[in-house]
Amino acid sequence: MIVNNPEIYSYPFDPIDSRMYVMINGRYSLIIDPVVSDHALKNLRDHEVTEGLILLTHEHYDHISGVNWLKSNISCKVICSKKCAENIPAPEKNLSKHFETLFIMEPAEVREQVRKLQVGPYSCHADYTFEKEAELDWHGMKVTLKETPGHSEGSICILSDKGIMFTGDTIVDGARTITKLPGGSRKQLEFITKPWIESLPDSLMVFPGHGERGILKDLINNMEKR
Amino acid sequence: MEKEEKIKLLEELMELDEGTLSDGTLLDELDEWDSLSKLSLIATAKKVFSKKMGTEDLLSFHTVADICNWL
Repeated sequence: MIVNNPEIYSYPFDPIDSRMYVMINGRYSLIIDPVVSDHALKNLRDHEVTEGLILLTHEHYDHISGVNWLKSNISCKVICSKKCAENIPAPEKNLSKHFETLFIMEPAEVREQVRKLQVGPYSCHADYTFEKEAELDWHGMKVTLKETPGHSEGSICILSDKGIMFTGDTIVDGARTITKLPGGSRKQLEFITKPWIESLPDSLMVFPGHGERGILKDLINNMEKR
Repeated sequence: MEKEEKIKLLEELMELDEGTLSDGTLLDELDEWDSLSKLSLIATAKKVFSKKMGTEDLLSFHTVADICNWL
């Protein structure tokens, strides 16, 4: 899938449909939550990308599984929150150690698909971290990284001055934010993250960690129906 | 840890109101006993009780009491 202005490529991680997003500017690429994807790599190579900047929305395996793979293919640096950086090296905290458990109630064919992925204890590392909030200029695009705890300790939202936001699992389409995983907190979601999200323009285009993109207002409405 | 505390822990883990669960509550009748709760229980067993819970253990639980006894 491609969304224009700026061009954003989306790559799903089956069978959980988490999303990797890629933006390209010349030989540079901004990559959100990398997953292993031959299609993504071909695209980066077709564009002759030589440098990548990886931003992680949070520490869970389905959002970091492609970090080491991408780093082995392209020169990349990783930025995430300090809490996320503390958790991604630990398979118990990034949940890779228990990944198959997420599917134990799924049909046999899905469990078999997951088993074939052979997800083992996974570990990766960040190059730069921040606390609370950080801003960066990515080749003319202003990007704000904002801690949004609730789904996990290290969750952030990534807001750009182009009217787009990457929300990881803080906002996903059609589902209430999950806070019951280790490190999750309904209170932090309600009292820290929700007020900040409510202060944002309704018209923001949101690229969630799972599922299709949508207007912020619509996604929030869909969540509240749950 | 007393059984009442374990039940409270399970209520928090499943994001249920306090007093929702009892010994005899059937897990299969709880929508909240989903894969995320199961994963969270594995992590809690390790972190709080220093016990390693596996998939077979999870599948053997039928009631809240089964979990409490295991913990």
